[in-house]
Amino acid sequence: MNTRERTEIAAEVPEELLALWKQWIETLGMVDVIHPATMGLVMMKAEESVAKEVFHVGEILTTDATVTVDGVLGYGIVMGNHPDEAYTLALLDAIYHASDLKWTNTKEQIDVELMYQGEKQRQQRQQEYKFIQRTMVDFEVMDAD
Amino acid sequence: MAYVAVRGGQQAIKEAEKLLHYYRLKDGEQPITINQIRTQMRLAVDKAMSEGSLYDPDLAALALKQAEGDAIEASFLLRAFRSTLPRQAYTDAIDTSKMEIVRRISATFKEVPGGQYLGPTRDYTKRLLRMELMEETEAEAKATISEFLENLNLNAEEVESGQVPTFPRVINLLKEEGLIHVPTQGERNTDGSVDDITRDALSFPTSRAVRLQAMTRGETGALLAFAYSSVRGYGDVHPTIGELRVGYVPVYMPHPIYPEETIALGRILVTEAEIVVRQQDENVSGAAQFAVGYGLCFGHNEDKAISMGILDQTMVAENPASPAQDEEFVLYHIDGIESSGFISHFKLPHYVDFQAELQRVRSINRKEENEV
Repeated sequence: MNTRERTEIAAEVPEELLALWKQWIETLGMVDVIHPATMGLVMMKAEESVAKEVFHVGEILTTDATVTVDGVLGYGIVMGNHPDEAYTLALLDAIYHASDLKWTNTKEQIDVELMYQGEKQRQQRQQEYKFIQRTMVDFEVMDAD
Repeated sequence: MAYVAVRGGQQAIKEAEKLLHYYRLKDGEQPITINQIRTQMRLAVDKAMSEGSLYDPDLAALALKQAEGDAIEASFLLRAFRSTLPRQAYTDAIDTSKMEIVRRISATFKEVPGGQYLGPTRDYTKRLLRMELMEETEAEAKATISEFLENLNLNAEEVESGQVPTFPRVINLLKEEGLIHVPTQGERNTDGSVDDITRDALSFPTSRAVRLQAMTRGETGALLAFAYSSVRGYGDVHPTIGELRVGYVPVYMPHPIYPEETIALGRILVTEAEIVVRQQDENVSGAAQFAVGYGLCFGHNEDKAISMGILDQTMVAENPASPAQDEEFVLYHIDGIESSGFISHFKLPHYVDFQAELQRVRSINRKEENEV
């Protein structure tokens, strides 16, 4: 699971789970906070669909944090004002970039949970889509020559 | 007449602010919660986020609560809040072809690849007040949800195994036939930079990136009025909605520490409109073509995205003949915060200005009386 896949799922996992992971990592590693979790903005860009012209849509409120765990840098960012979540994602980022074998077991456990959470999120979206699917239009031709 | 500086009113201002807070709560009702506003006033929340140019449903709900439902005031509060925070990063451009749709319709073709989905819409319902909502109880709300879910009769296997589809763009059908005008390099910014109206003031003529950015944070009513004027006769655009989509798109940004990697921030709700209009001029090879106007905004706001798409095309006119074709006229008047701020300033004392006007009028009248 690469950073993109991991963060796609982690952005929507329950707070309690992140709190548990935070506890695991803080127990096993030496954490230094480089940049405490702080609110900020990320400017969102979009691309117009024909000429592929890129433009700025507006800013997203985010909270981001930078830490080191055993000297390895990690960065976490979430949408909204959620300092604990941003901090925990930074911890996760650090251990996933660490090569120390002591993290192997933790990463494996988190990977398993992330896969499970990813599947739950997929099912949730599939259910939402099923609601929408009920509104699919079935056109009937009323008069044809 | 000399200017006279005056002081006063500070106590009255303080008391007015206290009275404002009192008026919001004076009827002794249970204070409305942020969750209630966010979930049951979702379209107002989306409008505030879009016009405030800040995506955060919680803060938008708070702004609406504080503004007692005044959408422009709420977007002003959001814009002001946003100005206190640093910009940490830029996202990659969102890919709306990956949108998980809530709604998708086309007015150009009946049979579009992937189908048309009405989604949660009032477009085809009677605009009658539902009197039963006057006394809606929590139990009734729960019953409505249960009934909806029971009637769906969802197949657990389908939910467990299926994949949420993504949809090709409807305008691709026209593109494949060579019927869509694709701007050449000379017609668009090619130096890789993206203009930003939050960094540089508007100057004319503008780039398309500037026009789109100004419109996406513009006030819905203003955009709607200008777009309406252009299709009613003060312009020459005959739009057809190629595709209107509402849905969730994933947002990604480069990792600030490990730049070869990408971070996902989550998903946001956007509305996108592609407006097909007939090109007035034939292209180099003499073929008739269509152009596509583009609209995209935060949240679910169809009028805004469609109006933006229409105005995106009206403003390409080389010799503007109507207000909606004049980019300076449109872009200087669509920002709700600027326009309401300017109109509001008329409520401030203009005693000196008016005294000058008054003296001038009196002096003209005296002169006329003397001449008679």
